Amino acid sequence: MKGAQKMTFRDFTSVLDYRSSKAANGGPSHVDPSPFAGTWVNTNDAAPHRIAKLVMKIRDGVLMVHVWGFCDPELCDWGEVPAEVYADSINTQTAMSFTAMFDFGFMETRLQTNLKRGTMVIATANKFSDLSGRSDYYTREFFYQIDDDGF
Amino acid sequence: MESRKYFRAGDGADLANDGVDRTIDVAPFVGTWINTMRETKGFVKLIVSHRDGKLFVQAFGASAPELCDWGEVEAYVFADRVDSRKGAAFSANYDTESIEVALQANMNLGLLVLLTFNRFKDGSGRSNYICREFFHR
Repeated sequence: MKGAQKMTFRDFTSVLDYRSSKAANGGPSHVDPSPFAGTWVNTNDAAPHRIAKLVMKIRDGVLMVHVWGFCDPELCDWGEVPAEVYADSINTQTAMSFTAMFDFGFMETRLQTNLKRGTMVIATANKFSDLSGRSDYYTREFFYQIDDDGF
Repeated sequence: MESRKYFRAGDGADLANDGVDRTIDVAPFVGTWINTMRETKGFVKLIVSHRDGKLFVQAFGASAPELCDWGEVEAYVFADRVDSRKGAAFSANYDTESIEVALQANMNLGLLVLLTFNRFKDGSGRSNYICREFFHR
């Protein structure tokens, strides 16, 4: 990375981060992932590129994300991976977002999510490595939570 | 057949060797982008440039008396569909001693919507957090 080296805030996204670093207690970041636990389904059941369903559980304090893509006649099971959770500010501990990576061998899909008014917004960044001619692509989808036995 | 592998039905298109140039068009992103919130404490300005077939992002954070120059990093661009070359989003990463910042940007109604995923590495106890901001040209 090049650029000016003299800035006081170089290692901080913002002035706010810098000031908060002076006040924060030491130790690792701890963000509570519980807002995501449960089963979520896509609001748009017509999109061919859609993620159909996610089931999220907390195991040993880690958010585990299990995804199913839409396939016919049966959903495609992506498997389960650990997620990294994020709050909405430096000083809060409730998760508003998570990221997770699925590596399928021929492609990688990175999930980047955030919660908004009870809806989960999932963006996926999809990179192909199989020379199939398919474009790497981006999606943005919306999900709502259902009872675990409702799907 | 490699191209038939998919984990979502819409990804199953077989596009290999069809002679179509699928270089993703990055033109929608190139330029100088200013945060719509004048008093932001986050990124004030982004300069997005294209050279040698690659996309680059230079971010400037709020600080005084001068903006904090985060330097230039390469970005990765994404189309809006598996069979499209229209640039829809890009991602980039900053990695410093104390923090990793993953940038995810997409276009919406002429605005650049930037989501940053901020992960601290310094044991300061600060929560990892996200920030969503909007930029105009």
